[in-house]
Amino acid sequence: MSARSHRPAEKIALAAVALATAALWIAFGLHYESQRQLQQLIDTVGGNVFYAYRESRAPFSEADIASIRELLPNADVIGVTGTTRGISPDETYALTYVEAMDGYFDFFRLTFQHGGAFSSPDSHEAVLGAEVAHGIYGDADPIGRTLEGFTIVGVLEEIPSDDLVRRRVNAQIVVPLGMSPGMSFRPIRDPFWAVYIRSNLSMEMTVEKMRDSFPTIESTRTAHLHSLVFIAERITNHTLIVSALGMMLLAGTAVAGTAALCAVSRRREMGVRMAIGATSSGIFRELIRDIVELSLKAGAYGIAAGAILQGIAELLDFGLSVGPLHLIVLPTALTCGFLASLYPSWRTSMMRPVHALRGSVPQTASKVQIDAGHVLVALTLLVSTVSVLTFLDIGSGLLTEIRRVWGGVDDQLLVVGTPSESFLTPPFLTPEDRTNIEALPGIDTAIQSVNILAATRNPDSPYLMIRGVDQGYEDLKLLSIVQGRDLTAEELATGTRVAIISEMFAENEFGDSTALDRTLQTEDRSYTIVGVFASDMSHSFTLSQVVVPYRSLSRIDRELGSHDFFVRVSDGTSTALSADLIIARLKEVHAGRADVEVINPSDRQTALIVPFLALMARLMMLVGFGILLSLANAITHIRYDMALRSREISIRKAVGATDWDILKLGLGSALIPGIPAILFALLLGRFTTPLLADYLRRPDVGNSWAMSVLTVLVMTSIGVISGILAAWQSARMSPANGIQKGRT
Amino acid sequence: MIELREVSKTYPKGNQDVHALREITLRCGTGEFVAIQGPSGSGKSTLLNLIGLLDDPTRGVIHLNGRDTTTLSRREKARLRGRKIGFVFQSFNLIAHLTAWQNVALPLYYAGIRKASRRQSALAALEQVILSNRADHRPSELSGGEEQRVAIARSLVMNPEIVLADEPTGNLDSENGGAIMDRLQEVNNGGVSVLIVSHDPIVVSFAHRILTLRDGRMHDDRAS
Repeated sequence: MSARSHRPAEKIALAAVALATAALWIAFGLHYESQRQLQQLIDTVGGNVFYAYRESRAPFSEADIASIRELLPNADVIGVTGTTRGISPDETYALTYVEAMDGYFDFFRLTFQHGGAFSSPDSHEAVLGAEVAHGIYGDADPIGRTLEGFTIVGVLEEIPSDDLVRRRVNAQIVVPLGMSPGMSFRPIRDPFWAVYIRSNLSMEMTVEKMRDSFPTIESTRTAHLHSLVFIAERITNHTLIVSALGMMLLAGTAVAGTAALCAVSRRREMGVRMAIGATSSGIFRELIRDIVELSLKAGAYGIAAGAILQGIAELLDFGLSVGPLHLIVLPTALTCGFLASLYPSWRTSMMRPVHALRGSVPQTASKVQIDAGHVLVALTLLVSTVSVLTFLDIGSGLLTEIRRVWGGVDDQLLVVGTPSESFLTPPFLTPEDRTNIEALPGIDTAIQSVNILAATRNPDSPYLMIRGVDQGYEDLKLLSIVQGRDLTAEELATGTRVAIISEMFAENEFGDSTALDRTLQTEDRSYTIVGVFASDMSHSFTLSQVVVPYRSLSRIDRELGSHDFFVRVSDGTSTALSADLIIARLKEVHAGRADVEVINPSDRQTALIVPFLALMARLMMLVGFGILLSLANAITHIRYDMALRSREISIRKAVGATDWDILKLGLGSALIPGIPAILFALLLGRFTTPLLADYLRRPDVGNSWAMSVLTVLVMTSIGVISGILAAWQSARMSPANGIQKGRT
Repeated sequence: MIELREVSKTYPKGNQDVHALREITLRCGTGEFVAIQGPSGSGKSTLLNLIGLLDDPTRGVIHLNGRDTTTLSRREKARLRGRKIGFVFQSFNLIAHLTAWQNVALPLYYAGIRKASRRQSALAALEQVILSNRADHRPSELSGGEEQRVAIARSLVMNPEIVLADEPTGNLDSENGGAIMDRLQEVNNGGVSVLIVSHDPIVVSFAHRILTLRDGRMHDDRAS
């Protein structure tokens, strides 16, 4: 190797530090952008806005509003708004409309695309949301037109999707209070009456005061809603920042390797300098200065790359913000370089001039320096393995969750049942409601189902929730069967006493032994278990541990339980409209009761998957960076080791070693320290993965043996590739050169 | 049998080429003891490296036992070097972290010989240089003379046909230098060709033939 053999290593270290710096810059940028967006949203309506409503959902009277204003004299109080969901007169679309008092638009800083607010509080005027206006009138200006008896006086600007507060209050049609369009729109839900308050007092004091006067009041801090949206984003960004710092650590080991390699290849030069009067501290300072310059350059490149990426992101309408933390990006890169170069520079500066002049490494020092190279390889592979293992574990866990959530749910399926939370008495749904649902337009079929509480003979769990499902259920494929089979059409039609049970229930009841063909005994009947389904996300739409044919239940059981329905909406029909129609129809049948709850499993799954995918993409990117960096690092460190051993390699070649023998030496340099480091990292990963999973609020993922094996394979491959690549130059080196000159 | 035909070696140095050897033609028979001498930079070590297949000539051909080595692959050269040629260097070139016997056994290892046999052969080779009692010592624990004796044992352990020695006594006192030359003489008496680079007239006096190089050219080739 030539005296300039450290140059490629310098480039690798420079690239590593630049990459880590850019990653840190971007991570901070994402963090600040998320903070900025949150602050912007809070600034729009104020951080201390909240709404209050009564448990009974009863409206507030004018006297109530006056009391609140008296109670909170400096607060900005917008009186009553009533939000109602209704279906258009021709039953073709559903809309949310709001009856609002004066000041509604100002209170929520709602701006107008066209026109303005109402001319008077008792006018038959309406303001439309941008989306609705576009849907009904296209690009034409709707001002002055009439919609179901209301003259349109304004169109609101579209509200960003992450502005949860204003989207919540942004009705599709806003009319003056008392001018309910209910006469033309058929309401399908009771109005939600609320008072919105922007208080000057602290939230706690405001709520306390309100509670004193209105004991049955509930309140929600609207700004808190915004914060909730950003929690997942914040967690992801914090993970990114920590990962970027991890990359900086890896980059630090690359710098340490480069500093060591640089010191080895310049030892003759250092010998000359020492011979002509340079002191150890002078040599030390010079070596440090070189590496600090390299780190400075790399940091500048990294910041430039980060800024360019930021510009590209802005062009793609995905902004990044800059904040005070960006000031520490360059110092971090410099500190990383400085700390990493301390030990190798000190070792070189302490070398005896006579050894340095010979260009050789003294025997005692040789051992120590080779060990230093091994330590760096081990450290690199340790850090990389922990990172790769942690991210692969979490990534694979997320993928598993995605697969479970994705699980083949029909996007035209709706689940109709009693509401899980309701102020009003929930409706009691019966098999007749199946007929009511199926009579609605756009509904293919409704499959009835009932949950019953059955007494068991087990004193530890005396009751068991059993779901009876009727014919047609077998076609829905809602549950993932992991053992045995699903219920068949024949069993559902004849009411055969067979059951499928959840994995969790099977484990509790039967332990490790198989549940198939066992008997599930309730107080009055027994079921043969034919299948076990996964206790996963798909199960959450069934929420029973045991599923049996509906017709196997007694008539009394069927009459005692409120029914649920799995409703298949025709292809091409909007599930949202069908949901509204179902709610409205059952509202008519069960007057005075709460609305039924209609869930679209597909929509729920999509909502769950999007943040998964975002997190996955970032994690995979980091794994890629980690692998790339560790490969570059390992090559640098093994090259350093091989450089130290160039004379030894020449001797070995002189006595008959082939190129392959020398490559094996390189492999040894990588794998002898690398394998224990990888194995130790696997143990360490057992602790770090649950920690990160916990922080990411994914406690169920992590510590997969398959991922451990994959990590070992990946990292060992890195060791092998880096060992061969790094030793290649040494293998091709002329032995005469090495023996005579002891050069690297 | 060693035969060089119009062998030249040029090293690039900056923008210029340095001619280390110019058109050297040479034949050495089996069992010859040849000394190579000449001033510093005359190309002595380069010539030895080329004969020992440590380096490749820029021009010309080198035959060992009638075989053209310039056509050999790197692997074949390594094998030939390990089995047929023994090296002794001025600075001993022992591997610091290996013991004396392990250093001696290194050519056996690369020849694929089993470990038990390697140790046995290495100890036998050390016995011949009267160092078997130091077999488990590392180079740093040996004197200069002992280190060179270990190097000679290593060069002979594969029973080579040629021993190449580059200033083998350069780092030794006269007593140790004499002992080393006595051993090389014994080796030569056993039919092994010995080529030795040295400035030392005492060392040169052991040779049957003396080659003198000057400015990379063969200046003189005479019997001792």
